[in-house]
Amino acid sequence: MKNWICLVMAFLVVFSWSCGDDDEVSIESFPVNFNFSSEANGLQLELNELQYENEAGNTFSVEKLQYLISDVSLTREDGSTVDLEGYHFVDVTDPSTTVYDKGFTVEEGDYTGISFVFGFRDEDNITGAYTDLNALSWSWPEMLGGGYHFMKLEGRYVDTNTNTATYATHMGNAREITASGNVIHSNFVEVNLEQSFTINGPATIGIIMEISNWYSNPHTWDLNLLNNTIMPNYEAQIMLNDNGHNVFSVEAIIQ
Amino acid sequence: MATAKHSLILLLVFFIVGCEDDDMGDMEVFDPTPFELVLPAVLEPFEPLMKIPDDNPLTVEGVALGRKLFFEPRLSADGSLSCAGCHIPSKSFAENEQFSTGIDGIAGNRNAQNIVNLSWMNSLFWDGRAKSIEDQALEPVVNPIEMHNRWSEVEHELRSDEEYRQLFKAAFGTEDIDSMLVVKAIAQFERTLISGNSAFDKYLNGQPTGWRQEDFDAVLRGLDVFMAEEKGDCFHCHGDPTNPFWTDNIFHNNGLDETFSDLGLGAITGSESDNGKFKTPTLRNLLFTAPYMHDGRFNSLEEVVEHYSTGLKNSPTIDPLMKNIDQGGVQLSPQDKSDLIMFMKSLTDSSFITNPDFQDP
Repeated sequence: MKNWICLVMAFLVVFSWSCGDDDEVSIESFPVNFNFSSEANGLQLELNELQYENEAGNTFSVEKLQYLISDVSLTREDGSTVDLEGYHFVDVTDPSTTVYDKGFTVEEGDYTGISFVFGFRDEDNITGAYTDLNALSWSWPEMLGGGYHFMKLEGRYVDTNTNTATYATHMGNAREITASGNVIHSNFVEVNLEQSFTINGPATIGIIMEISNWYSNPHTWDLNLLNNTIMPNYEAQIMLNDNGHNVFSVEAIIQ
Repeated sequence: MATAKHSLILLLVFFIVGCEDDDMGDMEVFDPTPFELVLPAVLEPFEPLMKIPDDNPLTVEGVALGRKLFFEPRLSADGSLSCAGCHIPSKSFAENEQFSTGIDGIAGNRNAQNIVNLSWMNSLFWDGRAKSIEDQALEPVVNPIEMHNRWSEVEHELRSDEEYRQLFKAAFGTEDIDSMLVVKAIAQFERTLISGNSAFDKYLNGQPTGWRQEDFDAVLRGLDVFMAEEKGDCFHCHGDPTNPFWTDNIFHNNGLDETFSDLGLGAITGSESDNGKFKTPTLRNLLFTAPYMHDGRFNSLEEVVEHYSTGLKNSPTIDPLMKNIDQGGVQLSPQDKSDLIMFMKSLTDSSFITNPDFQDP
């Protein structure tokens, strides 16, 4: 009787295996997350250290760096994309926020790039829509177009009198004051990073922000002139948008 | 053979069931009643963000016990001072003294903060040294300039009281009263101290505010001053209409002093870059909570607004959000100051201070 049972079980196991082989196309998916890190002048960021220099020659420190990432996507070799919907708030002073891990899984294969939105696209940038961001006082004033901040970058710099002064570079919708009234301009940045890589196992994609690049390329930003009250400054907001295309790079893809 | 097997299995099942029945018969079931919080409309979306520890859920029995303990003067060494002695319900659970005075007549060096919507706070005390309400509640009992007691004395006092033994048994399933259960109960009560029914809340809800239109027009002008980076720029630290807590929950040096007699957060972290930073207080119920700032130096909202307008003092850690420091501040016009104060007054929730559930039982 024992032999009989063994035979039947062996048959069932083999049968179930063979069924699985017939039905499945053998493309696997693997968990993927993102690690956002920061550097200044090519060095890993040290908060509160007045030791970095921007293109305008300002020596500056960073005390706060918070920003918003949304709609990450990976580009396949054939040009199609894997869209990872959602948003992520990064606060450099809180290490728990630098890893964006929402349980994404991505099919194995070859990829050619990583894209994301710095901030929110207009359709997502809705005042009060995200409770977690609301609790962080992350809103952008209605008088400037509403929605949310995209970035708060704050610290100190050495001014022209060699005194230490403060700066607060905040980014969000850009309000232009015109003769016919206020015009609100989208100010999110589409970040497209070309990078060939293969997903063949669980992966962490490292994205790095070079902070000093916010203040250069194409616009040289002098903290003596643009230090505070940046939010209602339309030209400054557009400068940040332009410079923001050259701030991020792929640091590493770890599998 | 099959019949014999079935009989054996049945016997085992009966044995197991029988054992369970016997054990249950000897046990008293501890089954406290879950406390159902009813949140004001402006706070409802934030329910998932409430910080309620897994090991201290709100129960009807726990909240009732916590309320009794909050008003219990026997927590202090001489039986004269309860939590409510410095956190007075009619003052939005703050008090109108610059510094609180303990049982030995010694004053502290920090102004008593109001107790409002604590479930959403990331830390407590002006320097943020407590990470939970339970942690916070442990301190005043043994602080030598506050209740100046020992927890062992409190535990003995409460264990010798039959009513408390029964209340703890109902709330936590044990009469073995200790400090952790005391602070858990107090924390449960404090988590029910929720405020979200001010005139401005009503405005956000689309309800009548109860204010004269001309006054509320001033409120809305004041909101513009509050939100404008080139004017008050209050919102970066104190929240905005989407943030009903009216605090960013973090720490700032708001330009009170050039040098620091109280290091604030810096004394906790040991970092010079944190010296002079204190946690942003909520703006809710400011009308009841004067004086203002961590050291209660300002007696009126007018003085507070004047500080940000013309009174800022530079220091190595002054917050980058402070504007025009060289000129002393943002230089608000008299109209802006007046409107800003009207806006802050609109955050007053009188129903909170008269709520019968929050009074001395």
